[in-house]
Amino acid sequence: MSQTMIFWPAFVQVLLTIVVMLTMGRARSSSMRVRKQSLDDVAMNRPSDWDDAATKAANNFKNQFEMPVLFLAGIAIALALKLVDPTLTAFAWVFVLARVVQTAIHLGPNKVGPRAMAYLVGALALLGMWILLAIRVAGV
Amino acid sequence: MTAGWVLLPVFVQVALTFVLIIWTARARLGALRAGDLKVRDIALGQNAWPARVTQISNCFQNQLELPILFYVLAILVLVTRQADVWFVLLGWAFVALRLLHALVHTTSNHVPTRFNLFAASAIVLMVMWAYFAARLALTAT
Repeated sequence: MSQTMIFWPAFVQVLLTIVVMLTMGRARSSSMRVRKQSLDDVAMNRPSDWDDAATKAANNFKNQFEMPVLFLAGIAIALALKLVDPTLTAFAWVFVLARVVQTAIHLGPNKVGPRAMAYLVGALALLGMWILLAIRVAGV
Repeated sequence: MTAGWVLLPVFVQVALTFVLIIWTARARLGALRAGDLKVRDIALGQNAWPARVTQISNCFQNQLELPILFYVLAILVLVTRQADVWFVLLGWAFVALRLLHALVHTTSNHVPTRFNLFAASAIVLMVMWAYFAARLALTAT
């Protein structure tokens, strides 16, 4: 199995981050238009500066710099030490798909229960990745 | 020094992060079950949680700030084959200080103590980066 296989779930995570960033930009400009705010009104980025859609998008964007950073770091370690195998790659895909679902729920209906479930699936897959990495490194 | 020695403190820091997210999830569920707040209070932000829950989730958030620079450094050390005993010792010092910092954060939350531990860990991390930069500069081919 090619080591670089594991790049693709990482790439999807990066694409997801960019999509959320663009969504946030659109939601923010629409929020400002509807609320007739100038850039100066929102320069301090207070919670009260934004409508719900813009808040959700910004919350989710921030989310992409939490657990996903551990995901990207884990993938970099796996590539640096040539530890990529099908199990690790499968965990990586489960993580990133769970993150896509989590974002779809967050930016859509924002039902907290299903959102937490998707988050949990992603977190467990990530935990699996790191445990597997630790086992493989210990075996090196 | 093998990669495993450099990565062991990294794995401990990752384990701390997972312990804190599990703790956060349990504390949040507990607060919801106890009726301290409603789900709609937190659907658009995490500000409405009780102080005890916020204390734990803040500590979790913290693990995704400076420690990221520690992960990046560990990866760079591996890729550039610069691993030595100093990276291992300093890595352990960083993680040990982070563990103490997290312990204070999630228990007494005494801010001066927390700050001192945070500052000490930040200084160790700066030393690690400076040492790495110096090694690279001196061994550059």
